[in-house]
Amino acid sequence: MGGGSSGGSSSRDEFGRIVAKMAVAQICESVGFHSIQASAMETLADVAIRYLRDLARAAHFYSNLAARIESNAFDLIMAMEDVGPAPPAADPSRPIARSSALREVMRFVEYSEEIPFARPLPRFPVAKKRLAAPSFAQLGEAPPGSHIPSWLPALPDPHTYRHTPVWPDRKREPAANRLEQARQRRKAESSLVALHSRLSSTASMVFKDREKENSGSEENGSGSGSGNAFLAPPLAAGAKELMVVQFGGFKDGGGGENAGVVPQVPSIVEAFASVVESASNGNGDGGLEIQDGGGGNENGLALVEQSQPQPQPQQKKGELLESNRSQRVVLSFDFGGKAGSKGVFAKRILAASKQQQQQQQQLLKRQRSSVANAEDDKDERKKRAEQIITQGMDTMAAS
Amino acid sequence: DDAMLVDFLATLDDYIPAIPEELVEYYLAAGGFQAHDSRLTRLVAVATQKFVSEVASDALQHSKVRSKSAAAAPSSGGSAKDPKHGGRIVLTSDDLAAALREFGVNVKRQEYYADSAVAG
Repeated sequence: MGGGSSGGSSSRDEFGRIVAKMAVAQICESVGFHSIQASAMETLADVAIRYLRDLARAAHFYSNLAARIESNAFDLIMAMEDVGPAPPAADPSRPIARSSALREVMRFVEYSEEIPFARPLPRFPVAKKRLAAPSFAQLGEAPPGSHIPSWLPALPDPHTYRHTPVWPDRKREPAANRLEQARQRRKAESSLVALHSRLSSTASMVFKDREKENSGSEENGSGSGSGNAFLAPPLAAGAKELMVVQFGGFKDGGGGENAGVVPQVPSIVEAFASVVESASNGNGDGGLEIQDGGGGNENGLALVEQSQPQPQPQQKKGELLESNRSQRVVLSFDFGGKAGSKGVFAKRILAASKQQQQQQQQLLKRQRSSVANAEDDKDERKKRAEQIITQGMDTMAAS
Repeated sequence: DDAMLVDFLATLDDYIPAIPEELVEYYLAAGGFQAHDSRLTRLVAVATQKFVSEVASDALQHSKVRSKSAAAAPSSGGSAKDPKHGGRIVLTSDDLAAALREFGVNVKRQEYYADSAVAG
């Protein structure tokens, strides 16, 4: 009896629970308690609510038993007897008005004080007024079909249940779209080219006094320090933008690497001296070996730290290769041929004036010659690198 | 007897029960009790209030007995009764469970919660 009443609609009668808690707390206070534990209060409120419900159900049951739908006082008194503790002498012949439960309640009313509830309460639960759907007569519509009376709610509008396909409104055909796209692409390309040419002209002015030879890296090099890096022309695809180091020696160690695209072989080696120094700073004895990466067109320079030294470099570098580290640092730079070819390509795109073309041709010759002379220069470079490295090691040992 | 009942119902007109009428009507409607007489709802409210106050007074007796026994056992009763005089009387779940058991309501309280290393 009363199985799901307490746990069933706990979300709906939350308000009722809270009000019951307040009432129960007030009653406890009147009994003499100063405070009450929270769990105890919840328990007592739940019990009180169950008591109420049980009373109501029992009274309803008794009235139904008497074939009535409305309960009266006698039903309630019998319910109270059912719910309360058993009377000491249950006598069925006793008239109902003399029931002990009723008498106890009467005694309670007489002797106890009134404890009005602390807050005013509205009638609850509050039922929301729902808007009824308008009927045919209210809308002024004629019901479709004579069998439908006009006081029934109207049928829903056709747009709520009929699905019509929606065609996108196309102002242009796909062919025109493609033409338009191509046109916009061409516009973007031409503007990019103009920007490029303007930037390259400014960058080339920066480079003219920097290099000894007329380097061809107007488009590929970046201004080293004095020029704004942001105004430098963009690199071709594949080339990496690297930091440019000052060529004045190996004073500024920390990881400076030359912009590999500058096709100045000796200066690159000088720059690598600083890398060597920094590597040796960080790792003790640095084993560095300058390798030529690839042959043929590429004039790459690879910096390889190896733990297994090869015999030939060992003779050159001496004590430098005594480290046992297994760390490999490979820096390969593409300069000379490949970068030169890239530069040439870029220049071909931008060839506007004859002077530039002449310069380009001169440059091409120089680069090809530099590639041709690469083999001869390699030994020189290696010796120079060796000198620089030993100088660096001496200064390091001295400091 | 019937006159007694009628008189009693007349006195109910003046009595304001602690449990508000709106709450009583809500739960009576949930139970199916249809009463068009406000005195009946007040009778129900009074009956519930009587029940709750009986439970509370029983719990008060229990707590007093507990404090007395706790006071008598360790010392001569002076210090342990302080929470009663100077301190506050608190209705605890244990006292409530003991009081409710006499009315046929079995309320079990967990001794401890073992969901954290601190508590359990």
